[in-house]
Amino acid sequence: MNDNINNNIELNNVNSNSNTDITSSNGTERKYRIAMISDFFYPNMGGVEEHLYQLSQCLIKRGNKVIIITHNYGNRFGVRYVTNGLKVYYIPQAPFYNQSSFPTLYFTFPLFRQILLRERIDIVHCHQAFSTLAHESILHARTMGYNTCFTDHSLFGFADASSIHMNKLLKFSLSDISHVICVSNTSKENTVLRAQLDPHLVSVIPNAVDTTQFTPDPSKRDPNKSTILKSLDFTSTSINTLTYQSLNNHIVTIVIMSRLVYRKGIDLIIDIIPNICKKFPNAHFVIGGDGPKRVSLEEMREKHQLHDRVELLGSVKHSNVRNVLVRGDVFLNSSLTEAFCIAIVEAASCGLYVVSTKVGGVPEVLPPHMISLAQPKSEDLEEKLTNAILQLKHTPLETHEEVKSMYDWNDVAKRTEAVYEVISKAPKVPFIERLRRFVGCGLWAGKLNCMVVALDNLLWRWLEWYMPREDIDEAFDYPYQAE
Amino acid sequence: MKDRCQHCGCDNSSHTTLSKSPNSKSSISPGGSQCINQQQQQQQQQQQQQQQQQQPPTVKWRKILYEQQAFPDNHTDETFLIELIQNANFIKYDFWKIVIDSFTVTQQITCVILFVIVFFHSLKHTLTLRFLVSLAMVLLVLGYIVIIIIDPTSDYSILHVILLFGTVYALSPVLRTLTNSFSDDTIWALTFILLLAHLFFHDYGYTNNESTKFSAPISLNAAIFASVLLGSRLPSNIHVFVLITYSIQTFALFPIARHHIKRHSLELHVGLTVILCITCSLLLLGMSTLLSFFYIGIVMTITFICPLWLIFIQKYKNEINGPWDEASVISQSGEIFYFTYRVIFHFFSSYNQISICISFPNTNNYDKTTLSLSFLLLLISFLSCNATPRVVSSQAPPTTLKSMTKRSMAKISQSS
Repeated sequence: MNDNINNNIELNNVNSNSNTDITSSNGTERKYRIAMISDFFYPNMGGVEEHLYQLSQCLIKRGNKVIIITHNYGNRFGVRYVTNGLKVYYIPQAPFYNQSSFPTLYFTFPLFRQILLRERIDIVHCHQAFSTLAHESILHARTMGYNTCFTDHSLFGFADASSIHMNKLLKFSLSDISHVICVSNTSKENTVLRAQLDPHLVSVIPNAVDTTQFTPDPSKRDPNKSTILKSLDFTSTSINTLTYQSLNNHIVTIVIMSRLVYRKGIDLIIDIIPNICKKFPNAHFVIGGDGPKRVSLEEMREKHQLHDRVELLGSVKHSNVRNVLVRGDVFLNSSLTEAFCIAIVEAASCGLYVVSTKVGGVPEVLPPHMISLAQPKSEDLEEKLTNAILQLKHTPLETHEEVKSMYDWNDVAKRTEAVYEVISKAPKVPFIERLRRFVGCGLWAGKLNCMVVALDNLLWRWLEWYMPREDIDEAFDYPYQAE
Repeated sequence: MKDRCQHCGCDNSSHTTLSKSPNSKSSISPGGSQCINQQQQQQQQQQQQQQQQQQPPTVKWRKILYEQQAFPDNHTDETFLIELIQNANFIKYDFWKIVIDSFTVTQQITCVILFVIVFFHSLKHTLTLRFLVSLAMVLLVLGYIVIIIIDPTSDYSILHVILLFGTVYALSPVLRTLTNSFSDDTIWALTFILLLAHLFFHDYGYTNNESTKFSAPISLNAAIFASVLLGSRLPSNIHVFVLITYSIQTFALFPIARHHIKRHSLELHVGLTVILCITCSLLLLGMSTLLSFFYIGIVMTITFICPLWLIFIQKYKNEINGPWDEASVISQSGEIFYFTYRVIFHFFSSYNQISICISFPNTNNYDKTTLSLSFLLLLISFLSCNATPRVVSSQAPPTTLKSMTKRSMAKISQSS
């Protein structure tokens, strides 16, 4: 109860401030000037990239200035503008592993400082724990005295070597951070444990889905039913219209959309597809995505002679995902770990019933009547999928309306702005306090961290002398009129 | 306690009224459609609660994302981290039990040292050939008797022993000259590394009676390879035969005997360890005092200090599990296992066949055809050992991942 009261006090402060702020700001001045930083952005595609783009767009619409800093992709160097004057800096940092840039610690600092000063940034918002650029930026931004915020998009265990390494790094980065955002409550628990944070510093703001893109289209369902009928070798004389009709009505298409990798639980799918096909002669699978497990899927299809019932589409463009989703009745997600899982929300928005493994943040995402949760074991997943097929109801439009009321990027932007509100009011942290925070990281690591931070501070002072901020030109803001 | 809606930033008092007087109608707020939605949801909740009449009329935080709740985004509920499980696999150790369990490691190290001592004695001619052969015979018969006494159902017949050692005898000239061209330094360095690998990969679970199937292919291959290397330094074919016999006895047959002894009685297990240790340290003392003390130091560390250390560091154990853990999937196809197995098989392609033959006597389902087939394989493997590695790899062409999975699929369909 004590906690609640504290929260409410904080909340009250926030809201009263926001009220005064909005009234005091005149029309031309931007509310916040935000730099979003992550290694992951377009042309790479994925959950983080989508999140960055949509959130930036909505923040711009709400009268903020947003720039994105990412590393170069191929020959995509320098500054680019995307929709609504969202400025993207592709800085010359070579990616070296899974699109993460090569960790250089200090070498990005001069350029990073130039960008922040040119764009007159006041909030630095970094994304994703995998991103080296984000970690470095947190350090430099804090050295320069910026309010920083970090969004964690993924879950980590505590047992294996890579997790331990990543958790140490995260603990270092988040030792001195203004606020952290997580995409689900499970993700918050995970991040609090990994980085040993005060839970009140961590907000939960879920991802969202552009529901205008993911609309249901019942007419597109079973586009291959005619071909199936042909393959069943019905002559037009031998079937009457009644059987034709009933056969039509009973074809159930199960859609799977994910990268075909181990972490997405493709082994579970390989185990259950033959059994489901045996149980339901009218069940069809459409599998979108590509990856190393595709070979196994093809083997399974060959072994059980399911070529006409299991369709492997290969990688599907994001713009085309909706067209695949609307073909289905049930969406099957078999991930082994997932912080939020945008895919199931997209599927629900297209009016599909969702069957998913009960892992990570998945149980929080959809209400029980839209999703069926199974333990990550093939028997249970098969049972839940069987029940889902048997009790399938077609209410795609209602489902879509419900999802529309649940998830909206504008709402995410609004809640993120509330976080910016809090951190922009936070008092400046003196250098000695920063050192105190870092020294708590560990017996040896703490001292090492302090040295890293102290050297960063020296570098900053040197840069201030070598490249004085008065000499740095200010960039023009893109003339976008907020709604 | 004053509460406001964070998400719309409006001074909306509906949330607090909800917590204080659930029956009051909430007023229309200026916060926009979202807030109205929220109110509607809350009204629904109210209605549900009124219908159920079970829960107290306060709004409880729920761990969901699909509804906006009347709590700030950084709300930390009392249910926070309720699903956290700490030290799920915690075992409280008993000191003496670990000490006795650690004997199996001591035994293995001692066996390796004893084998090396036997090699040095036969190399330096300090032990006569007659003595070595008779000792090997006595050990073989002794081990055989022990196994027969403890496990009368086992059907180890003398024919297999004759066949096995007969083959080794027949092949000893080949084995002696196999790595003859290697320099001494190479032999010593390789032997050291291989015996170390043997100790690392040994199946201690089996000798400690925790599993019933002896499976340590890497370890066994490494030891046999090491003995073949050492054999090339010996003066005569019969010496090589004796050395290989010792290595088979020490690395392939003795673990089986020790498994049965541990299963039979702990006293015998302890007694055997003590006898082995005393013999080994005495023999080492005859060679070098320093080595002997070094050996005793290692044994004491393993037997007493390591268990104490294990119990001491148990209090630092902090294993964290929760809903964020990656679920582990045991696929029915078992592809990964088969892949690694193939890799290992290729790596030890020639030596693996020896171990197949050697491990035959302890498998219960064999017949004469498989046994003779295994000897044929043994012959082929030795012939291929003589050839360059290029020929070995051409015998088993590199398989693609695809064909490998096909094979694994075929294997599953056979087994099922």
